[in-house]
Amino acid sequence: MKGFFPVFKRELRAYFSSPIAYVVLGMFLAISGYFYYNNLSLFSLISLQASQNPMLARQLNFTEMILNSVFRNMGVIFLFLTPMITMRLFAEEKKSGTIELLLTYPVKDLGVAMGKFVSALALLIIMLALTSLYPAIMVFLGNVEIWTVLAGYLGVILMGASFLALGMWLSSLTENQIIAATVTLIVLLFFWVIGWAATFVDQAMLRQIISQLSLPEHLENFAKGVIDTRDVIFYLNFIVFFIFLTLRSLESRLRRG
Amino acid sequence: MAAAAGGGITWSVLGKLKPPAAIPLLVGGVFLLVSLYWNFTAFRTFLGKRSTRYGFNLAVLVLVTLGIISLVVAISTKYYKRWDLTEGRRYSLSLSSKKFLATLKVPVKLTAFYRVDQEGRSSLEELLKQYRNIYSGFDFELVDPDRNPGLAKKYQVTSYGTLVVESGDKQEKVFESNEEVITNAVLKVSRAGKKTIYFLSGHGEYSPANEQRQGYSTAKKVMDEVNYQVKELVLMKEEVPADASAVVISAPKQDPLDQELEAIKRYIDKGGNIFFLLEPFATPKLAALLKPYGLILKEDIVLDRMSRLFGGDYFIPVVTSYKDHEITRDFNMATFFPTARSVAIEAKPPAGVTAKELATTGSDSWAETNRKLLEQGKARYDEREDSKGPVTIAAVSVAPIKEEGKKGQARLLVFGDADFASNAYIGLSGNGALFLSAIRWLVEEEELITVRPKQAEFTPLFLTRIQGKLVFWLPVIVLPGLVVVCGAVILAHRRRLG
Repeated sequence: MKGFFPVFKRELRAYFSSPIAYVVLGMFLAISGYFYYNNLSLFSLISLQASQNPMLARQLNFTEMILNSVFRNMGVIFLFLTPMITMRLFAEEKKSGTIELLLTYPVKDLGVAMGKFVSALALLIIMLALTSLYPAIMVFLGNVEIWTVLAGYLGVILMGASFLALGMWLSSLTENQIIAATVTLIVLLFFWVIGWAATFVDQAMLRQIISQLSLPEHLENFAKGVIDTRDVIFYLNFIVFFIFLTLRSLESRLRRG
Repeated sequence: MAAAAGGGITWSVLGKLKPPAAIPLLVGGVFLLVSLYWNFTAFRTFLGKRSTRYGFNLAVLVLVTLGIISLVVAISTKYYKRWDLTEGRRYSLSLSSKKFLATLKVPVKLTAFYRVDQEGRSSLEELLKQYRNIYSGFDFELVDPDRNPGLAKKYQVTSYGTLVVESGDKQEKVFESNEEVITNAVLKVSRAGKKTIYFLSGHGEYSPANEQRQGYSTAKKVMDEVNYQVKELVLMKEEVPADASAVVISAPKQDPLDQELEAIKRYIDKGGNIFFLLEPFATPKLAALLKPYGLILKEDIVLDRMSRLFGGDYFIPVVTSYKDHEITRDFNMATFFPTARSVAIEAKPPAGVTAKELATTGSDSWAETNRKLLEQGKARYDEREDSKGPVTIAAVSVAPIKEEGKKGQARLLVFGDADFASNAYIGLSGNGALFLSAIRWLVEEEELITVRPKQAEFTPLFLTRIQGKLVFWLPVIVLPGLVVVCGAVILAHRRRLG
């Protein structure tokens, strides 16, 4: 995979030399942090009631109640931030003309695509690493199920990577960053909302298929602390498919150029 | 082309090839063919162009990739692994359920009647998905009884939260939605063979073959419906058979012979289950047999003034209140026991024995011991002789098995009356239901699976004021703030550099 590292380094530097990374990181952390704080205080409120009501207490779980929805929320937030991250991956290059440079260098398309993808992924991982503050705080406050938390992070990483792959491909289709960002948002929303649409379908088989296409659907298990290979494979498939499409799109650009 | 497209759309909307759709489709099709013919050369060049061929190649490639992905998905759906990392494995079935499901070979269907907005519906669905995950022959459906009254009627579902489990021709209804109950219901409907219940005979008992008033043929039908086989047992000839799930002694007119009593005792010692239905002023030896099990049967008959309200005479005690026991849980129908004797439990039963009351009459009743007065029709409550109500007329005793090295229990169910389940009275009010519930409890034992509830510890959280503030400031302000500040510093630095 020639060219992977140079591209990767270049992209990462580009992210952090522009306000983008910091704005995205900051927003993500602020909003996620707020959801986290909310859940924590809610749990604290309910704890009082639950200590007098054993039935209620049985349904409450420290790790799960607080972090479960935090993971889901992170998914939503990331959905809106992805366009901002991926829009510049390819679109900008085309406009500034550097894409010819890139594509004619002795680097393979795969290296380019992977380099860009992994750089965006690195941004995601840094974001999530910073949120480890949340479970860290909880360790001092109660009994945290480490493995459940790790499963949740794994899920968010996989889902986030899926978003990024899709965004990257869409970015490779157009010259205009704004268009890339907008279309990415719309398509991501489509994959998010498709799960709801499934509930309107009566036929059981069709409903199953449609809901399986939904990105957040597969996060559910991870957020609960269950790792199911089927969910992992779904996300991996998604990622691979859109990287594949990106490669095809790059290829065609070369031809047309 | 537009016509063809319009026709195509209309076709898909209408779903059928009706004239409105067919005509534009046909017209469009014709136009397409005509234009093809006219522009044939242009068409040919189009097909030959490199970009078209490339596009075609690309389409094929994409389709192939999708095909590969679908294949991967199909395989991964069949062969998958699942790791439940939660504490106590909250989201998986217990080991005992899993072990049991691994032995299942027959298809099982579970229908849960839950309202759409009913509490616990989604967690039940999660639980049922687990069953389906582990055993592919398990299928389930959540039905809203309000929206599907026909289905609810078919299964005679009268309360929300009823689960119906079926396999083959067997059916089991349960009213709780936890793993233990569901697994056991699946077990009951899926096991091959029937449970066999033996009715003692040869002493003038109420026989399941008897269709007269004092017969138990209706009770037999009830037992047939839940897949219990009913057979006769002649203890004078043989021991209690090994395949007996329970023995019913339905009011013999005389005591069994001593050797039969011995055989009965042996059966109990081995962990047998017996249903005693004994009438007043009869079979003293049988009554005495029950003493070591904490059950005291006096020579009396229960008189109840409340039964006059129901149109009977004093000799039909009414029971409207039941003690807490599996048999009587959620049981709220009145039951009638024509000519009943009292069944009292010993305050201090022998070691290992647990005796519990099941059903008691109201406070307006008493157990009359004076036979002479009864015969004269002048019976009245006499403090010195009689016991005042409420009088217990049904009780259960559980005794440990007296066999070397074996674990388990013998179950003794004693009702002070046999008429309540006879052909004459079994259809009255809750009599039939009580009989069925009792015999079912008696028959089911070791096979049932116990599932330990898996709870993660509840760790309450009580935030102090300072903690509360920290929990807000750190994640919401400090962390993002740090990032932004870092960014500003780095960017400023770069700007300065170049």
